[in-house]
Amino acid sequence: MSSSIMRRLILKDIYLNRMFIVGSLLAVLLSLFVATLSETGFTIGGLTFITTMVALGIFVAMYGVVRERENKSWLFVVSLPISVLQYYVAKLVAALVSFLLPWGLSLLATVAVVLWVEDLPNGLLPFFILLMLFLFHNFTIFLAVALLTKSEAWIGATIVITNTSITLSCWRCWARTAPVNRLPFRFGSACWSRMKDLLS
Amino acid sequence: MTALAIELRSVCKQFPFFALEDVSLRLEEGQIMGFVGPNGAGKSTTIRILMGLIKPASGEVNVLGLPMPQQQAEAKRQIGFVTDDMALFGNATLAWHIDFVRAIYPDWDGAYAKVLLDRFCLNPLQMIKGLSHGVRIKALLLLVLARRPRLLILDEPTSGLDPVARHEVLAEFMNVLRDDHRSILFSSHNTVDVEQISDCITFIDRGRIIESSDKEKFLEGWRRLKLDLPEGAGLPILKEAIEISTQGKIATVTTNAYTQELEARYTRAGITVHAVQRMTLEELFVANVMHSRTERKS
Repeated sequence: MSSSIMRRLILKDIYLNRMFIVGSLLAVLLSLFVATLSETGFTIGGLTFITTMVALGIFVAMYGVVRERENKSWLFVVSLPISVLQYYVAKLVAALVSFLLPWGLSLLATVAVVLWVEDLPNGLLPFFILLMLFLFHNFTIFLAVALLTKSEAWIGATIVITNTSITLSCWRCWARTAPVNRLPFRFGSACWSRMKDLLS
Repeated sequence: MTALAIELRSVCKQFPFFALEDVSLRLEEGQIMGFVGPNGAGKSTTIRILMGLIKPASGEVNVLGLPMPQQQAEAKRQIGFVTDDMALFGNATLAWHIDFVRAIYPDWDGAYAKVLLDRFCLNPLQMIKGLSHGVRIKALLLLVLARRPRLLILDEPTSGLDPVARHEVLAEFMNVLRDDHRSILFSSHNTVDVEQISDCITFIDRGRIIESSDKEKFLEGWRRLKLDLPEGAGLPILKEAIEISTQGKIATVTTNAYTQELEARYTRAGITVHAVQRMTLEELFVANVMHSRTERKS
């Protein structure tokens, strides 16, 4: 009985997050399209892509967890035949699905674009995969804070810390020195960004 | 012996600036209990403990025979819970909420839900974010009442409702009680609503239960006596008199244990009992709270 209620709670959250899921997927497709147009388009598309993923994580956690607690609709949910622990487990699963669904599809779509489109910068594929992992990592931290604390200060601070350019810059510095990214330098040329390079 | 819908025994819970102290409460099946207290008295905290949302530091909580919070999921199948600040999902319609709740409760009464939609003038296709506070409360009550719960726990459900909406809602509560096995715990600081529908009343103030009794017993026991004091005579101190105020030769005595014998005792002391007034629930609530605060201070 409880598992079927939890399933309904998870589906309920995914339903309520549907606009974020669909909206982020459309924004990602648009940004990928723009990124393939020109060098400037690549920069704009890349920034739009990162912004979309960051916004998706914030919206899913803020709307599904924080706002539900603030406007007291969580009281309606916990009045249903579930324990408080089950409520939080359902919240966690629903938020992860709501984020990972567009995240996973975006990852696949972007990998496809990187592999098939020519004239993209070398080393883009591992950089992009690491970037996606970084964004997922940021989301999990933010979600954990949203689930654990009622403090707006902590939530605000987490958004700032996980998304500032400083954090991103630090990560990019690390990414440049990561073993996988040093490969192009060791071998003289990068070979992961294009399908023809992979097949040759 | 009648089964108990709610039983709290010596429940304590401490917060940084507030504490529930030794709260004990019993509600028999088939009864409506008015749970009355001023703002910040501990009504909502007690109710959240009953719902398993807050774990008490000590004491025992049983709802419909099930220990809380351990068996809260099982107990909540038979409980309808509404608070005045509870919200539905703004970006969904009432119809969506009805489908959502109906899928969870196999005993959902669709025909009764339709009756309530009509009675409360609710439009199922309207988005929740467009509803006023009163209509939102009615929507919540529909979602709760159509489950046919054995126990309704209502935290200030009529607060913010206009008189007509309040009348509709209270009438619906009375309908629920046509079934002898259903019970209601009704928290409010609106004593008019409580007096109208309750069988028994519990007063809470500053985290302590100050009195809990049958409504009729309450109303019968409390009286205000207007006395004319003879020249130079003092007012005898009787333990039944919980509040005394004197202005010249006129004294007003409030008692919570009125009998005709009390009147006779004043008469025997040479005092003329000018009037014996019944008190409204609001008056006796205020007198009770003030008396309890005085006693705690002393």
